[in-house]
Amino acid sequence: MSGFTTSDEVRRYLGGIFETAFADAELGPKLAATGLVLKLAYTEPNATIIIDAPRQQVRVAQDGEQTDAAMTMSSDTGNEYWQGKVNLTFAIARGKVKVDGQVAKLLKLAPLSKKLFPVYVDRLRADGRQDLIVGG
Amino acid sequence: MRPYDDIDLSSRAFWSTTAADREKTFALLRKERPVTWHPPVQDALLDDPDDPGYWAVVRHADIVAISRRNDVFVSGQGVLFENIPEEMLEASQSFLAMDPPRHTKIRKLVSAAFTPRQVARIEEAIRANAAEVVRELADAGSGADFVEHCAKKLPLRTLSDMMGVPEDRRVATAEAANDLVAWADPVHLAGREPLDMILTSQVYLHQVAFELADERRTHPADDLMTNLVRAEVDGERLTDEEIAAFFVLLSVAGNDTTRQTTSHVLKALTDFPDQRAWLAADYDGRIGLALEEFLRWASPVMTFRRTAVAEVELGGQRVLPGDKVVMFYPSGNWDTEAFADPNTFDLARDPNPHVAFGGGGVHFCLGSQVAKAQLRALFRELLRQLPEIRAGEPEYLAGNFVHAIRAMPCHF
Repeated sequence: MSGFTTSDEVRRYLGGIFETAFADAELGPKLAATGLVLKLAYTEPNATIIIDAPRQQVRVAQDGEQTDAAMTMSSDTGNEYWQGKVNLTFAIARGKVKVDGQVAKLLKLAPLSKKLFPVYVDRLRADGRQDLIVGG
Repeated sequence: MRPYDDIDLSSRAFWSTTAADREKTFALLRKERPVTWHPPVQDALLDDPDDPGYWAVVRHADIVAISRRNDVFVSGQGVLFENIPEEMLEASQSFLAMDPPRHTKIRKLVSAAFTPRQVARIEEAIRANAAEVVRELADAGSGADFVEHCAKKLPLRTLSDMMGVPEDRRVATAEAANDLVAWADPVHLAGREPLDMILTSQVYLHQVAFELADERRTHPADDLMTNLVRAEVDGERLTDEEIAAFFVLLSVAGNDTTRQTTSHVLKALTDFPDQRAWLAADYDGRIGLALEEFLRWASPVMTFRRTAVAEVELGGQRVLPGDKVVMFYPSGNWDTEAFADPNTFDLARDPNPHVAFGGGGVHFCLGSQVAKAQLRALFRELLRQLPEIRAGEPEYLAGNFVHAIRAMPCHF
């Protein structure tokens, strides 16, 4: 796996999977019901995305925008997470993921978000991005 | 869809009552309907829309049968009554939630530290710690909280010594372990979200485990962590994640069970003075038998679950593959088919086939000998140093996992 090279790619794939989640008949309403506005700050390359659950929106964060909850991780870790390769509690303990605010609400959705792992991988494959698939 | 039984075992309200109240419900089920189908736990940590419910198993004989038939009733699909995010289970359950052959191999790695012979080796340290803990309780003075000043201290020291937890991490490790069983108690939560509290505690325990594993790779010592970082299963070393999950399991299993049993027993010795006098009259000669009743009476772990992987008949019901089966240990320990006068705290009860360590089989409590060594040492010291000690009214913790006392004053 070689990893993302531009911020645009990070937004397209790691933001895109939340758009897929909002569109999902089962997961969409549950995600919205969390009422969470989550800031996902990816590094290497940098891209900061806001997941606005009540509005069911994914957008680019404005400078210094504050949210209820924030997670910071490398875009590699984000990519691995959506392929089911990252256990969040271990990653937090290792300092690979930093969390701020009530992120446990998201863990409640874990069984549902797991259903998106194959969707994420399929999208990478469909776009010819074998290079981003872990072990691919 | 199977119809749910009318009896409620799944609500917060049920698990916020006292053990005596719950026993009335269990007694009725044991008598009339030993295996019943129930809806999932109310306000669970995790709402799983695909979860149809569980079979409640309340009879001693059925708990024993399920525990021993680990080929049919497996642990690998989870062992907690409640649904918890898979990420968190993976990070905290270790071999508790595994099946053979993996279970056998991982458990074997650590079992060497828990044999009677090895426990005999650490018993002297346990005795010295117990004497010190009781001295500290005496210094805290009559009226002190027994949980804070005594019950939680000995398991914390024993476990930290065995594992090699450094001095400055010990108290926080025990607190984190306690958080992991107190998620359903509003007082303990004090405004925190249950899952946030669990996440924070798990992360803390992992950090301690990662640090300690690194430390023991470069500076081996005579402790369990050193064995774990050196151990190989099928030619492979354990990963740090596997070690960290084991550390969480041990921290919870080692701290909370003995701590709760200690508190319940002081209360029982207060409520049954004749039993206390009987024990004190020949402590060393009688404690062996008495310990079993301590454990039955406390029933510190209230629930564990299994998942059926084959169709099987149980208590007149047809259990199907994929069905969850929940064992209610306090109910098994009050079953009149196994125990005469279960409401009597009878230290001379013999035989005493309690299921406080589980119903036998491959998941029988690994730390049972360590638990007994600690209870033996601590009550010897309590009755010696503070012969007049009495328990006040306990404050019970709400929840469906551990039979816990949050606080309890003691007087001497």
